[in-house]
Amino acid sequence: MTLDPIKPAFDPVNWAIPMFVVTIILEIVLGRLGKAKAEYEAADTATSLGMGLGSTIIGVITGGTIAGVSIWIYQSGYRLFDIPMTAWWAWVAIFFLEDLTYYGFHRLAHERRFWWASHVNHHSSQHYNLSTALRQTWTGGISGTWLLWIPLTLLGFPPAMTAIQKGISLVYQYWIHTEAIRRLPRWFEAVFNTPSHHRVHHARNPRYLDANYAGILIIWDRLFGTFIPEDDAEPCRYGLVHNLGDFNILRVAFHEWMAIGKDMASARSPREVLGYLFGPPGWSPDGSRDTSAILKAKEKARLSTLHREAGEGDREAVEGATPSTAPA
Amino acid sequence: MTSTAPTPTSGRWPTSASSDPSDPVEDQHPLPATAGGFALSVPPGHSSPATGFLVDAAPSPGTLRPESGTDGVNETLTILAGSAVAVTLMVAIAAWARIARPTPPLDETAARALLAGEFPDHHPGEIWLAADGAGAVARAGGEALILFRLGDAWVARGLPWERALAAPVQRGRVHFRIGDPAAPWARLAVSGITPWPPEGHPEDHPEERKEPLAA
Repeated sequence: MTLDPIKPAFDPVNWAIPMFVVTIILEIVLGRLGKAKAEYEAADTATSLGMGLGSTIIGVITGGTIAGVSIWIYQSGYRLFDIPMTAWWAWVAIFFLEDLTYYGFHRLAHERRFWWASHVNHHSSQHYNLSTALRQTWTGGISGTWLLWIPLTLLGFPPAMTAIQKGISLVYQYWIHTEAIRRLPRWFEAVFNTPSHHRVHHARNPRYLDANYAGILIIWDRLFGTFIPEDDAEPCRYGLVHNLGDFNILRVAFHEWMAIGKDMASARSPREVLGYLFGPPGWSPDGSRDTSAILKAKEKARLSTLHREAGEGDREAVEGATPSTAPA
Repeated sequence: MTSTAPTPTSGRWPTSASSDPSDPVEDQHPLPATAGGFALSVPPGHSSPATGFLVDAAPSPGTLRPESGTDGVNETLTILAGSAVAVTLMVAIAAWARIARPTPPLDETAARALLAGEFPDHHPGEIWLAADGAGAVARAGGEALILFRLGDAWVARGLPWERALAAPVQRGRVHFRIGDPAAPWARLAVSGITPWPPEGHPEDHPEERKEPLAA
């Protein structure tokens, strides 16, 4: 058995496209029939799917260059080992290593503004359904996050192997973008990323911010302290801390880059430039804006105040009355 | 199934130029190889011996050239065309299904609940409602808290109160220039009953005085 280590034998994402279409239609129909929780708004759906289509087109343009770097490194011999694609253990190893790499990428993409600028569009829908999964970045290539996967090539994993595993991860993450599935068996929720875990990741409630970065395995979040379970007492409200003002697809793709440019134009020192670029989203020199950490701290302080005022005996009633559970 | 043990590359350079027929990796990637519409190849004659990994290895210059065949292009175009048709179909079905969230015109209670979620640290005073119920403005200290409907959801932004007061009314809508690349404008419907700026708005701290914004 031979497998081309350079050109992937198949692209899991392309193979999954028919499944994407069928399952989105199925989710809509089940929502329509009242058999599953699913909310779709046509303009929002068009924006999500348009972003997915645009991402595919841009991927055709930039993908060759990105893959070329990895292939160049591999073919030039800059690798520690020759890892055979035909070995079962190699696939087990890349499953874990690629998933760990994804966790690192995803955390970076949320916690540093430069990379958030390319990832923010995926979180810009106020809906959480299967179409949201396809609201993919247009600027991931230029933000350079693909470099994070280069160490796998340096280790000796063939580029095709990495590409296939990345595709598998992307396809896995598709089905968890749904409200139709509440909870899965306890053992599965403990190990794998699930709709419940990922709903938290897409939520804008302060307590849920910057959590659950997992791709396939939720174990990384549990290991690195970023896991937050979904609390039925506080339903997820989806979207951004400051939601977009329209469905303009160009705004969805580029608004954070524009905001960075605007901030940098007003920067008065190199420190401010660096802060605006690589600080956490919401960073500002005078602290007048809110980062996730500040939003969480404020929420915690509000809850503490409410608890004090109401007394610990009424704790549950207070939590039910917090602003974050207000209808949105 | 061939060899299943990782093979250190030390002492071999470049790996891709090896002619060892027993090398399972070399068996697997005939050059030129292709990826994403381009092929990358290391020209013969650029190989050099290396004695260790990443220390004294001189990289061979690779060259990128367009993929020669048209199969990849045709496959890509087919996928894109099919995807475009599928997108149209899915959006049409989403519109047909009418399963968006209900967003009835705002009344004061609903507006207040939404503002409490969006501005938990503010204490909005009286609330001005857009003529069509698709938006609201409340004053909290020196800030205008603006809320407007987008599809079946709501968007909120803050604006200095004086700037909000000066917002122009054109074609039956007050245009708040927010200046945020993510939401540059909020345009709310006005009418004779709900004019902008609201008549008789209090100058200071409406949250304390509880006076009506509109006459």
